[in-house]
Amino acid sequence: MMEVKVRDSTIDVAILAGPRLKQWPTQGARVLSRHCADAGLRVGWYGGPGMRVRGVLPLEGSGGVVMIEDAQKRIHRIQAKAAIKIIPHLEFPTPFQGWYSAGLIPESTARKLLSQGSLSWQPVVVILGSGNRALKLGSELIQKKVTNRVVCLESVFDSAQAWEVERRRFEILGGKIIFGKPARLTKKTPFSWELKVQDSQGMRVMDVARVISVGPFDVDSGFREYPSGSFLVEWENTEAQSVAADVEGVLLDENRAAVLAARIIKGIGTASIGLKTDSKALWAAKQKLIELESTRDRRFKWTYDGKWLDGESKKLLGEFSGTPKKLEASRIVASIECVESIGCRVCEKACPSNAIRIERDSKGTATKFLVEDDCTGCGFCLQACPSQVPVMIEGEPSESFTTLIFPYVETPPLKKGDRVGLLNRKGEVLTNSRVLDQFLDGETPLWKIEVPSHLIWEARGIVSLAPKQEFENAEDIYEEKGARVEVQIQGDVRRVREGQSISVALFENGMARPNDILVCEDGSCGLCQIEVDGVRRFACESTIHQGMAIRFTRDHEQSSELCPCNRISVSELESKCELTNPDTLEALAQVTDVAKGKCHGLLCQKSCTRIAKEWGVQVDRYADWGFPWVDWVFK
Amino acid sequence: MKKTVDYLLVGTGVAPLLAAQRLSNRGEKVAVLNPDPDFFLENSELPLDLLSFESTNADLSKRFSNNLPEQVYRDLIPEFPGAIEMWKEEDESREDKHYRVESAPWIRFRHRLWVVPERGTGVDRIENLYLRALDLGWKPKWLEGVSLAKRFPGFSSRNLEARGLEGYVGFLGPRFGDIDVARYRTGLLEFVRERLGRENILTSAHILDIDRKGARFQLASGLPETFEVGRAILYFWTPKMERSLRQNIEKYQPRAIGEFTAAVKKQHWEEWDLLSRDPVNPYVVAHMESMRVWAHGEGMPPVGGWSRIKVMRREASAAMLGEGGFQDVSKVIFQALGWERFTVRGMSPRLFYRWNTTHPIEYDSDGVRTLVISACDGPLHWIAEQVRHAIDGV
Repeated sequence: MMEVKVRDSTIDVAILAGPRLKQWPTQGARVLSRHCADAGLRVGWYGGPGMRVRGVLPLEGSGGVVMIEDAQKRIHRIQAKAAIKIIPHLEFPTPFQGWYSAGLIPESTARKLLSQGSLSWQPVVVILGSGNRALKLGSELIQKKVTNRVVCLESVFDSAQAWEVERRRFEILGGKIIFGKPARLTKKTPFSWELKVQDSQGMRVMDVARVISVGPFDVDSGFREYPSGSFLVEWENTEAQSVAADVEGVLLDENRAAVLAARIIKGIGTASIGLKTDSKALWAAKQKLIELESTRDRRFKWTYDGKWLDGESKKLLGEFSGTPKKLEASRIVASIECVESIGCRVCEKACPSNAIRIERDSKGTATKFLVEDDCTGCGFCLQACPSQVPVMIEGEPSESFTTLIFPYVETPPLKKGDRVGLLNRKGEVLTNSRVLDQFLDGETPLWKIEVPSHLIWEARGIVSLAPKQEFENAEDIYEEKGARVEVQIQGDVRRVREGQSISVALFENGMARPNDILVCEDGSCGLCQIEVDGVRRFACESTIHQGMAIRFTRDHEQSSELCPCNRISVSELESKCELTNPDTLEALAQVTDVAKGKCHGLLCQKSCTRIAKEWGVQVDRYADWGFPWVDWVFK
Repeated sequence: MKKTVDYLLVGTGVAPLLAAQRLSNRGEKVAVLNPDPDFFLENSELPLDLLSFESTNADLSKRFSNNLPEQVYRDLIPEFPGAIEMWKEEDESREDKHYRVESAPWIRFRHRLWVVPERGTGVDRIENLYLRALDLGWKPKWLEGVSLAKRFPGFSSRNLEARGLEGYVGFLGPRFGDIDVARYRTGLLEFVRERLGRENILTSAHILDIDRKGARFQLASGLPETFEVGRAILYFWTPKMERSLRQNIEKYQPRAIGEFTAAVKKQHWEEWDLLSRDPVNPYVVAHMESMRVWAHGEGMPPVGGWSRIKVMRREASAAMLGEGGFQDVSKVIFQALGWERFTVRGMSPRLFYRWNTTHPIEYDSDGVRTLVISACDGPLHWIAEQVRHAIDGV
């Protein structure tokens, strides 16, 4: 008989790690707990490998009972006045034909494969979405030579959702942003897929190595408290631990944490004495959020006359306080053309001489940015900027040639004398030039490039014109991580890298199934079940070792359904909406089994919410508190 | 803006819809107000009677008769606008398959199986129940040991010796009916909405005031509106409505507060949704101590059964998922069923009332006749019967 110990306790604020969260605690969780603790509330973090949060049972009124299982299989039942469930970003597009397949993976899986696998996704990768995270991922794929071409496909909004600086970097690296809707994904070979895209000119067919779903596919709703007034909050956090890794994500989370903390303190603290919010910090956080969220509606764009900036953009550039106004011979000065108000400030913190002091007015226009007299031309801002926005200028425009200093991180690295193409902000080639010298080494090397003086405000990127290296062996391209061993997969003998997770090995060998796409690392999605030497395991939790025999126990087929676990199509959900006319998502959940399958909604909840919204169902701020959050197995 | 109706019905579950349907059939003009954002969010309906007796001296005859599948059908069909299908175990082997409406709500015929450890405290109770059932002519079948345990939905024959099944006794009782609650109430809602019109069936509606001029209410957004009520306001009492009903009674009929309080006793249940590796036989609902166990699904069961098991466990207090809950469920799964492991797909707390009295509480709300219809939660067919009696008496 199973022995279960249940321990009871209470807490004011419980911050909980949701399923699939790899990084715990997140930056948002830290900031939230700090604010709440500073105000005098008892705060607890629950999550990580030794403490698995199984779910929350809402109480009548407000608060909930949090159920946690520790590594010793003891159950902790914690009554919390407020419970905040932190979940990672996970976006899937509204289902189209063939979407559920190994050819379409979410961003987190792509990053996992990149970090663990020796992968090549040639010739093309399509990223669904055009937000900052999408373009940043695309830029990384190009820079790391994982693929030659990246196309970001925007299917929801009328314009690209990323900041201008991310768009600039992406396009300079050769990425393309196109507008259209994915229509069909078909497997051609284990390593290539055919993606059909419906755009304004008809159907376009692309041969792709992988489709990566990043989004956003809807307006970011921040944190969701449901039911209203319950202090049960679901909140998507970035897992980045530094601003540079995900500028937008970290800034949003830090400031939302302050706003959420203030709401919790005000709501819970009424029965307690002496709980105060830091009103100044709260005001600053709200202003920052307004600044971040307002840029969504009015994305900044440079305007062109052919390949060159037109008069309006030139004027804007000339007047912008981040650009230097005095260019002198033998003096190097930074030009930080971060016109869009994004509140990043990484360069400001990196500058050792305090030459970058950013101040913006209420409309977001920079009133102060670069104090060029204090700029020593050290180049630290170029190396620190997550989007590689700044350049440095050396020389006077009156001379024929000036020098621009660019960051260049691609491989192979540049050499003195190499020929390069100068690119405008859209990635179009302006002219050819040459590398004068390396300026700074490091993780982000900086290079001096000779630039015709009439292009010093136009050229903002470089592309190497060195002949492409011919490789004889795959080992010359990739640095293999780990020795290869022989294993059996579905009866076939394969050589795979020892020590990597079976999920990654399946992708590397073109044998991944649709149910492997989440790669959650802790089995929480419950989909990737396999048999290893006769014992049932999860592919994401198991590692390769010599001689193992892997068999698939549950083989999902590629499908177009909204809910692949319960085989419910989009049209079935739409007919439920039409027939039952629910006002709330909760009522819709009672008449459909969407999001009630093995994955507990990881694959389909958001798509279901978007479709329901089109049918007039109130979905704003909805969070699903179904218990448990993942299948809970007892032995 | 003022609208005129004969009856104003207020409630969150299926009861006001049943009443609306019945009153509309009589030609009455009806409107329905739901304080919740949508119907059935409280989920106060059950597919079957959990047969949780306080005492085996209860009126078993009536209780058992009310649960026969044919009676369940008779209770549910009058107000339902479509077909209700029936399923029995014998249908699996029938060669002549009649036309059935697959998407209709189905009533399934399932035996009740009572199981108790022979050395436990509950054996007298079960024996008493068996004898009562025998006297009433229900032909129960006394079983012991493995032949009893084998009837359990989801029973596995693995490792029989170690499970101590020979220590179990009990009996197989008559076949009672259970209904697809979601299909029934959704179908009813669609029909009533179409019949009354969306302007007469409102959600997120809160009554602000009642007087001779009518009932003034407000939706989640918008200005207050008024329904002029010709005959009566009917409240349908479920656990979620209790607070507002108490406030009304304290305001308009404080003498009835004692009756109001004494009418109910709370019963807390845990509803566990478990996965089975193999299909689970849908022919039996098992009773084991404070738990009820049955194969769960919608519509006609496939041959062999469904792969989900529902376990409803009565909990003494409002505190959910304590040690007792896990121990009890694991006892059912590991000992009685013989599984090596089980997977919890869902768990939710449920609150139902045990009704000590079911006649309506009537009072006057500033000149408007008001009735509180009780027993509007629990088994769906009971609710239907209760509402019908209440409406016929109005």
